This record gives sequence, structure tokens and C-alpha cells, in this order.
Amino acid sequence: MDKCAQMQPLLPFYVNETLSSGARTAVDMHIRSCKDCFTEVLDLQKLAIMVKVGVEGISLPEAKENEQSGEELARVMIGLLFLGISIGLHYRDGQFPIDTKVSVLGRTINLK
Amino acid sequence: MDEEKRISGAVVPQDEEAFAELFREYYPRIFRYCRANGLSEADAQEVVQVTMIAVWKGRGNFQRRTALSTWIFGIAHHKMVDLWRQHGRDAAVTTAAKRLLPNRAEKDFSEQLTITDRMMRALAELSEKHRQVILLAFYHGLSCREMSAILGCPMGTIKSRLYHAKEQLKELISNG
Ligand SMILES: [Zn+2]
Repeated sequence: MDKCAQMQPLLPFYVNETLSSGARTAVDMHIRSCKDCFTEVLDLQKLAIMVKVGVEGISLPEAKENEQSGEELARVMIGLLFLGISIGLHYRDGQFPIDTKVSVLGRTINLK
Repeated sequence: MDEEKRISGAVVPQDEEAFAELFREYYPRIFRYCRANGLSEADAQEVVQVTMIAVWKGRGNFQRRTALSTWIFGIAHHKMVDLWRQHGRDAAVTTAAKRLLPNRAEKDFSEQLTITDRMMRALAELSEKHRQVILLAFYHGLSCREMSAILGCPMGTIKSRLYHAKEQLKELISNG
């Protein structure tokens, strides 16, 4: 099998730094002498950064309202988790309404 | 990060305060993963919530030979797939993906699009399987083995899927 064809499937994992040290060394050695694979690594690095930055840019639901509501959501949800309660929490129109359906220990109760 | 380092540091918190810390760390990552997969805000929040409940309830079953993040992302991934099933995947995903995307009529202004707009537009064009491997590898930063465990397919499949997915994504991004 051609060396490049062997290396190509490893390159995304070389870029995200999850290869075993053996595989990592093999890629390191190869890209030192192979311009195509080296270019591919650079392309993948660019792509990986774009994915990371792009997805990190997705706003969290509370960001529209105020800085504190994320913390508030975390507190409320954690509180509920420890009660064994699952409740539908959705942000709508800057409000913090609670769904009318609440499930307590697996049983669904309608609050309406 | 090195896989073994992550594994040795992995402990599921057993008390409320530590769990709250874990929640704050994973909530944005799971939420954004779901949104990038085309879920609505409400559905993404639901996935976060059911995932964290499952993590808390299953904390006794966590195997230390797995990275904690992989275990949590695996749960989140399966909760997301469950939700798709419940809602009828295609309807849920396409409408949500469209909500996230800038209007097609605004295409002329594409130079004004943010990197997030461009990435979401490109991701929405990928097939579900391709989108997932891209996000697991480059957003969550998982290894091939970890992805294989989460998606339930052989490592060879993951590698070839990722190869085709990134070729397509490169194309979409450069034409976006
Ligand atoms: Zn090569």
C-alpha cells in the first residue's frame, strides 16, 4: 500500500492530537518528506479551528437575556436533578417559563 | 490532550457541588453539539437535561478505562438520537437547521456572515453521518477509538467516513 494512502486516514486524528505516540511519530516522519500530506495537515488544522470556533460561536439560550441566567439555569437544573425531578425548561421571550408537564421519578404529571 | 492523561484524571463527581461544576463545564458543549447537529434550542436544552440526569444516575456505572468526557458525550449523542426518533428526525432537523441558518436570500451578503453562520450553513449541507464525525473529531476532539465506541461502528468506517466528510466540508466552506 502506498505510504500516503496509509497516512491520510490518520491525519484528522494527528490534528486533533489523539493518535497514539507510535502513530504520531509515523505521521511526523512522513510529513517531513511528503509535501502533499504536510499540506493536508495544514488544511485540516485550518478546518478543525473553523469547526471549533464556528460551533463555539453558537449562542447559548441565556446569552440573549442576561449574563446571570445561565448560572440560574444551572442552579435550577441541578436542584431538580437532586430531587429526581425532570422538568421542561425553555427560554421564551426572555421569560423562564416552566413546562406544564413535569415528570417526577418517571411519572408524568400535567400541571395545567 | 493525551488520551491516557484524560482517563486517569476522570472521576464522576459524587457530591452536589462537584456535579454542579461538571454541569457548568458540559452544558455549553452538549448544547452547542446539538445545535450544530440541527436541533432547536428547546430540543438541545432537553438533551442537556436528560443527559445530565443520566450521568448523575449512572455515575456508579462509569468505567474508569473510558475518558469521562467520552462517556458523557456518548450519553448526549444517544439522547440526541432518541429525540430525533421521537420527533421524526427529518422534520425536526431540517426545520431547526434552517432556523439556525441565515436566510438564503441574504446569500449576496455572504462576506458579512460570521464564521459560525458559514460553518452552520456548511454543516447543514452534510449528511447526518458526515456531520457527526466532523463534530466528534473537531469539536469534541475525540479519538478514532472513542468515536467508534460512541457511533457503534468499526474504526475503519470512522476513518473513511471522516475522510469523505472533511473533503466535503472543505469544499462547502471554500464555496460558502
Ligand atoms: Zn504523503
